[in-house]
Amino acid sequence: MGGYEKHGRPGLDPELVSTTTDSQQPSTISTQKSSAGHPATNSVRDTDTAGISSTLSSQGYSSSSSSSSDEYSNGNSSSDENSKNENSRSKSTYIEEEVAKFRAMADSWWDLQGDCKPLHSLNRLRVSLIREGLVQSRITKQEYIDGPRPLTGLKILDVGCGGGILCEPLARLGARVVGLDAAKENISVARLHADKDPRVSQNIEYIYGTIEEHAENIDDKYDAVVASEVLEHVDAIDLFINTCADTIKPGGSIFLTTINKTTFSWVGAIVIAEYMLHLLPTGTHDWNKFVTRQDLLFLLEKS
Amino acid sequence: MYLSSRLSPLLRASRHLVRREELRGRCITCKEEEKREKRGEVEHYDVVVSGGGMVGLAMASSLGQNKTLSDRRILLLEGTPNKPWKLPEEFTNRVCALSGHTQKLFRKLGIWGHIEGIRAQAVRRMQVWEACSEAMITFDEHDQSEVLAHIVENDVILHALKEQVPAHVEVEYNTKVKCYDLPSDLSSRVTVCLHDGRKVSADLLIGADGAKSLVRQTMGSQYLGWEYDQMGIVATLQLSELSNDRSSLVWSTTKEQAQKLHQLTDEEFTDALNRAIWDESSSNEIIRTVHERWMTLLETIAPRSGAAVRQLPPSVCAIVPGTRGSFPLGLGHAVHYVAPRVALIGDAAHRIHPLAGQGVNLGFGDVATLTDTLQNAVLIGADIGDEQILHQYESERQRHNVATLATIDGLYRLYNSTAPPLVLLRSLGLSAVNIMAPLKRQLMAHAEG
Repeated sequence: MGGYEKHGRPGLDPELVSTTTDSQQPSTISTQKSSAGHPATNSVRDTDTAGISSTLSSQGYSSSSSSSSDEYSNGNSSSDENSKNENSRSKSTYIEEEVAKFRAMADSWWDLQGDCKPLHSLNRLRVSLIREGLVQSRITKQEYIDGPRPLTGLKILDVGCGGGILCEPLARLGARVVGLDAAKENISVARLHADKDPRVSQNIEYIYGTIEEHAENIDDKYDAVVASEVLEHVDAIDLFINTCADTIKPGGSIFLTTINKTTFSWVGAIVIAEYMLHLLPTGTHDWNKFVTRQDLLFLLEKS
Repeated sequence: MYLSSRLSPLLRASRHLVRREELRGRCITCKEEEKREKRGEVEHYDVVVSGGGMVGLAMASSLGQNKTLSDRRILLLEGTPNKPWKLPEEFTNRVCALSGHTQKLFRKLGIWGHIEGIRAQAVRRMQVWEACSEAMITFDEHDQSEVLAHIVENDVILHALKEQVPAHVEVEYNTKVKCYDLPSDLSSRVTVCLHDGRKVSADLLIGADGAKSLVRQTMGSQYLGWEYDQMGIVATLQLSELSNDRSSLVWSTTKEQAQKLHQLTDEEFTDALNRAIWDESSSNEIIRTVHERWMTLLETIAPRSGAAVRQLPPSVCAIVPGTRGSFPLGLGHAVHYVAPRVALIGDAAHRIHPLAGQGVNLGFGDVATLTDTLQNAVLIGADIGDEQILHQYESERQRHNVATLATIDGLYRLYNSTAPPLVLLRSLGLSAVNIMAPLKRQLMAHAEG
């Protein structure tokens, strides 16, 4: 049910993973290191939770992670919430408390000095990742690759788009973007902001809803699906990823970014960022919901 | 900002007044007029460059030729009319020393060949003489393989730039700006009010409007600067009776002296110039002796290889008539180069003493860096007026510019004095640096841009 746009911290070097689907079932996984090439997003924050970087990543970029086995025991709250928010479906990825957190900060999405500044800074990294990933997977149209709008002709879904922080750059790069979020306030804020620039607003469509609902309602599948800083806020991650994957057309890609589940990220993202430096409101992240690299890879392979 | 604050000890020590410009010239009249105006009457551009001098033209060309920025609407506004230009036979007196980086930028813009084809002189050797002692320093091709610089007339550069502005970049001459309306954040655009009543809006305004920049004043950017009590006198010289070769003069002297020189005829001026070059009256016996001992010491450390010719200062034969001019000298630096949707380049951002020929090269360096910054902005899908992105340009350029400004100012103060201790210090220092090839290479590398 919907992802939540979470303002991850750029210094956290979130896990950046993309997979390409050759057929209906995604069968290959390629973990892409952030091709933005800068740990420069760290310039925003000095508490660098490069702890997210696994031993694999030589450049200090975070590794992927997943926690398939833990999803139900993930934090004491989630199982309670699960039963509280039980839909007619037996499983759901929607967590009311998580959504409420973001509803509360609807005003600060586009305040560049506010709580969402890390997400804006993160754009440098994740927009480059998505752009490079799509160019390399050759789904982009040849005639546009070298120009100012390399993603022209592509349809991208941003699950948990929040205020549209990632949607707008992708739209400027030429893609037709659908932004999906489970909080109505976020969708209104996103629409309002996009309307300020006609070049942007004509390329974005915002939809209020959950990923499960959306997956059932779409006619056309997407060239790419992005769920950035969302995984740490949903329940039933394997279901979430599966549902996302169902909306991708053959040859398309999925891009996930999230915070790695390590001790260092606990220290960095929660203790320092929330409690000490007050960079984020306390309670934004629940460490138990972080996904480790191995688990995420495993989940992606499974789906 | 912290880089500029390092200038503050210098400020306190300075005898001159620090002039702080904190004008906030937001145009209130225009704002009200705008409310009454219908929408759609304002023409919108992605980038508006204000100022059609060398740096402004280079900026417009650089943006227009960039592949990633190729679909942007660019407008250049220049207040003076566009006069047709013919290459004069005699050299004009306003020239620049173009560094290696500037040459690279010009090659990229496709104008270097054109400039060389018209008139440019490569500099292969630079020598600096100390007036109060025998100290001197030489930079030549032994220190580095490339040419040190090229001397080119300002008009030649302007002409070459005008010819190469891409066709889709709109250039409006004889268009003066009345005022600017700058947004406080990204939610609105820049509005430029022109004297002829028209308005233009922009996603990004680039201020290339010179040392008295109106863009900078409207931004309210704190401007740290002071006038040196000096004028720069320019002229074209003939050094020898036997040849028709020309040389360019920039003579920085006190305002008083400049006034006196202004009254002289060309012959008297030539005499005065020669006297100034050859004047040894301020040299001191003690300093001479100490310096000689020092040179002997240096010889033992780094013996001169082969015949190192000590070139004597030149003698001026005559001044080319009608080429004398002068301009005031000063230093200036804007604390902030950028604001939401605005960026300053060239003299609008910084002003420097001409003693090291760095001034316009700093401006061209700004052009190259800002183009790269904007290209990167487009590639990550950002708004080109985004302040976070423009700050990258500001940081990179301030790092270089402030270091240069501080050094040149330091040199100016050091050489402004005839007090024996200072003279001794700088003579010994100069001679020492002269034998240190790696240090000289470093200096040249920084001067390259």
